[in-house]
Amino acid sequence: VSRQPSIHPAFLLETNQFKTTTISLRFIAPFDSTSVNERALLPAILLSGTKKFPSRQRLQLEYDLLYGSEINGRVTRYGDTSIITFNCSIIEPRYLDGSIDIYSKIVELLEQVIYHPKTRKNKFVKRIVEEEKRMMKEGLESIYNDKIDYAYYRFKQVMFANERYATFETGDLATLPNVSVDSIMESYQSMIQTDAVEIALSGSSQAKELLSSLEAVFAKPWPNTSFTWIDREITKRTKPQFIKETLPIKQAKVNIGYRTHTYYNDKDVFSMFVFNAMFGDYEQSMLFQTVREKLHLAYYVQSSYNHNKGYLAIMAGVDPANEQITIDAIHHVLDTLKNGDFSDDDFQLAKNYLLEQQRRGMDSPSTLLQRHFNYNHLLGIEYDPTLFAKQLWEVSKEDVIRIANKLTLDTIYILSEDAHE
Amino acid sequence: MNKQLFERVHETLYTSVLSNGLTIKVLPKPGFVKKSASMVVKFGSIHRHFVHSFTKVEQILPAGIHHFLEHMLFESGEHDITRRFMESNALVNAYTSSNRTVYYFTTTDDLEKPLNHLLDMVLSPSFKAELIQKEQQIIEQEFNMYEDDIEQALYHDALQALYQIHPVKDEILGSIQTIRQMNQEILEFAYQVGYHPTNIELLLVGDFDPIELETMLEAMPAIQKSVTPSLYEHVVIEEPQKVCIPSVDIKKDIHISYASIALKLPSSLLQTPIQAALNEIKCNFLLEMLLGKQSRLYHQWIDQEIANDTLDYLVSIEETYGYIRITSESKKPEQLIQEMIHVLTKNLSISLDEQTFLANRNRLLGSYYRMFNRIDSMANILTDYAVKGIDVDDFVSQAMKLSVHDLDDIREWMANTQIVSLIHRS
Repeated sequence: VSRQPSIHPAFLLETNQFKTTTISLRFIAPFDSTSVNERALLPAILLSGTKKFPSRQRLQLEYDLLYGSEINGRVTRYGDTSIITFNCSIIEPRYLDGSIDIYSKIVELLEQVIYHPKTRKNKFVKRIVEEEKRMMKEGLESIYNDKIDYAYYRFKQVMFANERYATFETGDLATLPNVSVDSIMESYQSMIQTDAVEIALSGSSQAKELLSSLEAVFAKPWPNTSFTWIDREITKRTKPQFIKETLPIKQAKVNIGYRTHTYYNDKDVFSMFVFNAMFGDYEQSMLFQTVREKLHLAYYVQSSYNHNKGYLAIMAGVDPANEQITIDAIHHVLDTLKNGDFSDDDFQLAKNYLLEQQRRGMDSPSTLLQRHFNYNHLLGIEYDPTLFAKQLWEVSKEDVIRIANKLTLDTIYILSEDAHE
Repeated sequence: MNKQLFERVHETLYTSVLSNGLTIKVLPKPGFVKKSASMVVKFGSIHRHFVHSFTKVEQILPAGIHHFLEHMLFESGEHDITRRFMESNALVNAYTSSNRTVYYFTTTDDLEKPLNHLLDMVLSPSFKAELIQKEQQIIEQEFNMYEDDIEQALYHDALQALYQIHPVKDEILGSIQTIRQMNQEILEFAYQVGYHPTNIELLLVGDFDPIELETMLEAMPAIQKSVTPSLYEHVVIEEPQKVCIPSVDIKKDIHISYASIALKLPSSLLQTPIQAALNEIKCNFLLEMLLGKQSRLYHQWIDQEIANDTLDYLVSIEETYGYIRITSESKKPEQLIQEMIHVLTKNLSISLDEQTFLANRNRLLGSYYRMFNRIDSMANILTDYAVKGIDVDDFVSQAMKLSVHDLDDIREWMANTQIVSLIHRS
């Protein structure tokens, strides 16, 4: 399906519902696995000091004086595209006493952070770079502390072992020591010179003023490069992989991964959403009802669908003695869906649940901005709050059955207890 | 209905007491899609000791019963309760903490049906003996889940070390032993004691008319049910000033060690609810200035590699207890603990900057505005202040009048109190 691109590099979603104006500033580039650490470190390094506000401490004081307008930066990945986002929300001037010009203050802060980082002789400060490298290292290591997170992390490493997706945008421990002040500068120059920039705002009509100020500083023409938002790479396997690792833990973590062969810009994605809800996305789902409520096998069991990579993951926490029976039960639930052996009620309830979720997002400025982004870039269409409901109602029971049969089991990963214990 | 203006944030809160003694508070939010209703039962894990008003006979509830009751209320009635809410497009949930049990739902659809379900669920439950066993199993699984959770261990071990007898030291979930003690009789007794309508507040936030809501509620069967007076009173346990265990050192399966210190507030700082709340914010301001992101020390400790950016403090002050916890991942936990203790005991010699104090006040004000951005956070803030028994807008106004010198009594106390140190070793 060919779609008309309709990119808005700067816009304001006008609303009077909130006390704040929300700012999202995005730097968009093709994902490059050789600079993944640099790009993951950049937001933190930029936020650790500027020419005028030379330390994190100094910046924090500015945020706090501005009623807690903290600037956050993070890197995310959509398919083969990498995005550095700076987010910030400020109290709308109509609530304040006017003693501070909050608009010009926040523009100055963003400009300082992005265009005037603290440098020495045109290089980033080695001490800061090393400090951020250490924090990233400790952050990556601490995934191990939460065994649910750790099991899911290992599961993804195993399932996508030979794919581009296996390089996580959050950083790579093995190559982290290679990061230098020079490689950071290279990555930074590339960000400010070649990345596409999007300025997205939600706020009252007064924020138009803020939008023009931000455009004057950050806007540039949208580049001709087209970004790839979906990653369709799939490792060929003759049979699903089964991997079990052990640690001294009490509750085994079962993770199961399926390839759905369905992606965000496919027509089938709405059927996929309904299928995922019915399968394991909420408390009335068949997995939750069977594995937890009926069989009492797990304290938690949940499925989640990643629409940019097209996989579906199930996570369950179970007694180590019940690992196999839980896996059997999960397979059984999927078979039930494949055979269309579900009630009209379950089907309608799942749709209602998704619609509820959709409507709830209307009350959140950041969700609204995210949806705007998804429609605009991933789907290449204008944001339309009614589209989701329309498409959802068209999903039939047959569609759900078809989606269930499209799934292929790829990986079963279990983090279990040490046998010696 | 009683109408109260929150001038700063341009909001109005409506309050009324229904015929059965239940207090309702309504915050209308025109334009919002989501609606939220919370039944706030002022009965949490620390409410364990009760005395009969006439006979003066004492009754002590087993640890974990509040949380167990919360689970049982989802099991009463003929149908699966969660599903009943789903069928009227509402999502229901609940939680139990030290001083409250809260049942709440949110919806973007009609309010009446789920509201009826919520009132039925909390005000007219039944306890089926055969379901008690099922819940015992589920809660045991919940134990195992938290067992591997390091954050829970940090929190629990700190409270164990600080408190000698106050029930806040016991886990909200109870223990495997106390969970096995649960039976129909004890659950019904605990329900009688804790769930009297006069001990509950119903908080409603969303796009609706308060007067219509009040009328609708008065007509609901759960409200019209007759109520017998409550015969038990909660007894506050007097906690000694001395800590229980001054120093803790535990091996855990983690990659980086944690260093923590903890302090408990004396009852002299918790005389009235508003005083307790102001002291909570004063502790927060002070700790932010001493070792928060605004401070020199925070960055110095990270530079010296004795702490990392998980360095954080937590102040929790409620009606009958209050404590402070400071914690960070650390590769040199002994050294970090020494530094932490040093900054608190020597805090009187550190001069605090007026502008930094102003920044703290501004941040507090900003977070107050931000609360009114989301239905959930509005429901949470109303819940918190209902339990604290104070008016949030009045509290913010008083906090905005604080000056740096108002921190003196907290600084004095901090310099002279006993400090618990905890290491969770990798």
